[in-house]
Amino acid sequence: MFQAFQFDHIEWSSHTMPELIWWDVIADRVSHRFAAKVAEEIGKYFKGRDDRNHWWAFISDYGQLSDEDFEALREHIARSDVLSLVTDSLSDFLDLYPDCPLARLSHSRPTGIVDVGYLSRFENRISELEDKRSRNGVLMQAQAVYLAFVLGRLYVKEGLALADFREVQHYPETEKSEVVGASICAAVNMLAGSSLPKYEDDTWAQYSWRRSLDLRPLDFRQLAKDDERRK
Amino acid sequence: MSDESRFEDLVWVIDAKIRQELRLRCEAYTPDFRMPEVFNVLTALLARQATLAIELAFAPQLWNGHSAPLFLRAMTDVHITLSWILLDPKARARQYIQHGLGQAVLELEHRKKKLESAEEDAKEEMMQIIRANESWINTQMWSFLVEVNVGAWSGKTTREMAEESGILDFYNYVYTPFSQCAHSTWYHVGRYNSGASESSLTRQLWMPRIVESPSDVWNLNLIAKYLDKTFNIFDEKALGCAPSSRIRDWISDEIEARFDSENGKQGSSVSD
Repeated sequence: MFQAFQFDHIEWSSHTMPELIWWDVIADRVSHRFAAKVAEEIGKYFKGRDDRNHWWAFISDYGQLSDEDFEALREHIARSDVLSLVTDSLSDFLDLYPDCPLARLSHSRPTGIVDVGYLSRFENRISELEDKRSRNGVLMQAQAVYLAFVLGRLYVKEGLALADFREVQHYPETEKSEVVGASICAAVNMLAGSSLPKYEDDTWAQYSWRRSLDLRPLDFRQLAKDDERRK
Repeated sequence: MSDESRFEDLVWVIDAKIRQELRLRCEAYTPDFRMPEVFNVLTALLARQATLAIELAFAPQLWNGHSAPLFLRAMTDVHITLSWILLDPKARARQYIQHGLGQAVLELEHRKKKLESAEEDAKEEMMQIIRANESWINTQMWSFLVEVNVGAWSGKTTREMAEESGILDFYNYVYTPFSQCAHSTWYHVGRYNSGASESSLTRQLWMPRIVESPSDVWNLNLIAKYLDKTFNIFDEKALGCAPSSRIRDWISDEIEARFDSENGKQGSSVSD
């Protein structure tokens, strides 16, 4: 059956999750509500553009913006009074990943100085987000769906789970929020599947994993701890 | 120091040497995140080869014709598998993982079927096993998406894999003979577990037996030889450098330094 449909995988933990991670960084540093405000402003900026290839929820989307476009986006966000908080909330993350396309949100280059405390915190957040059905995982994906609503590119028929989108704030405490959460996950799969570059060609995803390896090199010492084994 | 403790010391040193050689290779190998499976599979197979070598090295009572071939055959299998994957790592590492996951799904389905008819008090424990297995599969790929392939993982025979890898001699002279022991064919059983009866009156009948097969240090040499082969092909094909594993020579030097220097001459057999 899968072959008949030219079935293709898009993997959550290696591909979609790093593309959406910045929403969780903002939520972690400020709040989910603030992340939604950022999504709203970005959505307003891009609304009406004849661009079917980008949803502006994924980090890779921003790698394709020209400098002029980025500057205009910055000015738009600055006018809505969220820019400084966005750049502040992303600064530690951008110091970890200085070549992230979002670094252009700020006029100053990331220092690249790693805050070890933040690195551990970020690592723990990632651990939770590996489960796309975790609370933070679902709320992170909800920002992408919200952006699609604001862009006017996603419409939902009354009565469908996504029509109760706001219920996601209670995820996973209520039965209804679980249904909404599942619909969000499915919708994000569709968004990611239709707009993200293939994993192998995804410059941001590849960079983020390589850089993560630099930040946390694999420790093979456990293979050769003969002295401890001998005791 | 007694011979026994000197010998024990030797095995620990061999263990450390193998682990160190494994570690050096893993550290030297840079993963390509476009295909992380390649790193995962190649380093896992190296670790598997090292494990087999260490486990057998630690068990001199198994260095005999009954048992050593079980390990050595597994080592030849690892070597052929690795050699074949290295010819097309991206596709074959994935194929290797998918087959393994398929086998796990198949086992899972068997367990679920058994659960239906299980006694009530056994169900919870069975469920725990099922959940653990399912979780292991799902961390890699959703179990419902895994294709179950009951054939060989590569779609080829081991002989074909060896031939394509240019190591058919290794298959013919090493893999095949050791397989006789692993599969308990007459080739092996007829030598190690049966023999013509002593009396000419009953010569037609062969007696079951358990042949005395002394522990032979030669098996340590073979362990090191196959480990060298595997490490060296990894050096060549994965690291792109000259083969540099000389564990066999190193072990030989260690034995000479630790035993031969005092005893003058040491036989090839090591007593249990």
